[in-house]
Amino acid sequence: MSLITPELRARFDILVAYYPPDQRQAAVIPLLHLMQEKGGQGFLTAEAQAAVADYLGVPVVKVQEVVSFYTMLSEKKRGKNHLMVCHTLPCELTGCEGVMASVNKRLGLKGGEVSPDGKFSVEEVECLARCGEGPVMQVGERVFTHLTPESVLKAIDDMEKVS
Amino acid sequence: MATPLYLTKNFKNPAAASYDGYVAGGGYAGLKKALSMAPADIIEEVKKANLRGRGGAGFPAGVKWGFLPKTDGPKYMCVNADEGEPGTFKDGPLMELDPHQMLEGIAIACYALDIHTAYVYIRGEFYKAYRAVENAIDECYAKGIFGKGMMGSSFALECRPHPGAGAYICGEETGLISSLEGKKGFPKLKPPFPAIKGLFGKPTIVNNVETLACVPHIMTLGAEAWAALGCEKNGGTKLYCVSGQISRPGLYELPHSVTLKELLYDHCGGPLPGRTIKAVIPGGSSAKILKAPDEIDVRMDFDSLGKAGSMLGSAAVIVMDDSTSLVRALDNLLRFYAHESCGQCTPCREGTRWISKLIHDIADGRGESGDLDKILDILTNMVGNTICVLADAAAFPAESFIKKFRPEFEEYVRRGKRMSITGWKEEAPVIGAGAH
Ligand SMILES: Cc1cc2nc3c(=O)[nH]c(=O)nc-3n(C[C@H](O)[C@H](O)[C@H](O)COP(=O)(O)O)c2cc1C
Ligand code: SF4
Ligand code: FES
Repeated sequence: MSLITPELRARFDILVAYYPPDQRQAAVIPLLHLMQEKGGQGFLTAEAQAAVADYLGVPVVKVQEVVSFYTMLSEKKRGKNHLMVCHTLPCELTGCEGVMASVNKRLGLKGGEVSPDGKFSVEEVECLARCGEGPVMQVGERVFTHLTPESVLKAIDDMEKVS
Repeated sequence: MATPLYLTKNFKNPAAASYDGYVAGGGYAGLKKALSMAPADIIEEVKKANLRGRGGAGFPAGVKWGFLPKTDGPKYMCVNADEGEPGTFKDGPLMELDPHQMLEGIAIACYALDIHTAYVYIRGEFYKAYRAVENAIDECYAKGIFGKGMMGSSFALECRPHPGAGAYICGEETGLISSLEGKKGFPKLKPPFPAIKGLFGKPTIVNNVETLACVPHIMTLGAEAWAALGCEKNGGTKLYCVSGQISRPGLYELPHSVTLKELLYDHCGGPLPGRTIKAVIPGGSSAKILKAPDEIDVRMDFDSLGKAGSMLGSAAVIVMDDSTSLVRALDNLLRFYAHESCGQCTPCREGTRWISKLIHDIADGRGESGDLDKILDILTNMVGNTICVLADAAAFPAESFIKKFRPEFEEYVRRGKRMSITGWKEEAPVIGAGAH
């Protein structure tokens, strides 16, 4: 219950009203995004998913199905900085392999791992729709373009200092 | 002579992202004109303007609009802003830099179609674009565009943004509808087409961001003038996304009649120094590859590229020069499709995985001479056998890469070593990488 704070509930109420009253389930993705970002954890626990299902009045399995289908919704803890490095063809043609090697050497994280200090996790993702400026990496709302094996280390250093 | 800009004319003017700035540049004049016209006449104008759908299929927008039944019950507009086709980067800037242009197109389309609810389905990673669209929508409610009484008329329109959450398949229109309904993004068998049975089971029009962004210009310029900017059956200017091994990659607004050769050599500065262009994917990763220089003197419109055996698709032009290993390039693309298959249809789920694995083994230096024919054989069972065309979208590049560049593929198999993506250098194998 307390998982959905009054502020979160107010946002939920606004979003649900975008859809017909008999189609509350349509709000599930917008709500899960909010829950993941503002619910404090950066990922969706079983309790968080149940809370959203309860709020929407849909069976919890419907919410679980959605969480497992979409890559941006996560059931596992992610680093405070979740590095999404694009590895699709246009970025590979402009050198994303070198960028990724540099990231791996610096952070040494295997698939899905979070760094011990909780600051970083890494994921290779498909096209981030900035292909004219490759190689590309997105971290939260920030998009890094024209990356080199060196510039990506500088970006990581900067994130390390801030967080 | 520089081409006059329409779709991107506000891109260097940050003020245009706000309602006042957009109106100062002549914005919402197209909507004003539309509201003085009969809805059926607007649809006629869009047909005459030869506006082709810019999400990938190139279907004439006015014709699609004509399929929507004229019933009184709820009908929906779903704007496809899920931009995920590898190589495509036009809808993001259209929303981030000039959100009102798209919203004006939505308003005109909904008025013409008697639709009173529109959703803009925005790719989940597009935080900035989402915020720009959300702000612009709020302004439209405050300024009497959305809500009750559009520009003082009796027409009412609700318009809302809706985020995706990372799944390429939600760009397919029926997958998008499933996702908007709060479900897994599973495509549905057509027919029934969305125009008859779409969102929440109601008649629905799905249009791409760029398609709708063209509509205000058709209203202000007139259908003939817009059509004349392009070539026959392909009206207007078009956004081309150029990436890969080319001197000046980027987003280009050009007449629909530009040729691929002109685009690459006159506008994008040709190949990188000391290189020659070997091959080009002209319309997103699902399009068949074209050989340079023989096949690139082709007009960049939907019909000409179709005749050339490829497609304009999302107008994502991916350039590969003589340093590129096409085996590695195809390995990359097929990993993408294997990863993005939603898994509903066996030929797609199994086929994309299988061909991806075979190509990956070849790329790793573990290929065998019969593998190429095996792949071509698997492809024949993937095409035309599935709910949506993702399976075809994987098969087209695979077939065209192998058939057009067979000697290079065979040479790679013969060497039996992993080569770098550029430069034919040996590398350590990456066993089990990617989506396998
Ligand atoms: C696998 C797949 C992915 C697609 N992805 C997109 C996309 O990201 N954006 C888009 O506008 N259309 C995409 N489409 C095309 C849509 O299904 C649909 O044709 C389009 O949104 C219709 O709008 P239009 O007529 O304005 O082009 C995709 C199609 C397929 C088969
Ligand atoms: S063709 Fe592939 S992506 Fe499309 S519905 Fe079937 S399994 Fe899903
Ligand atoms: S391929 Fe990397 S952003 Fe498109």
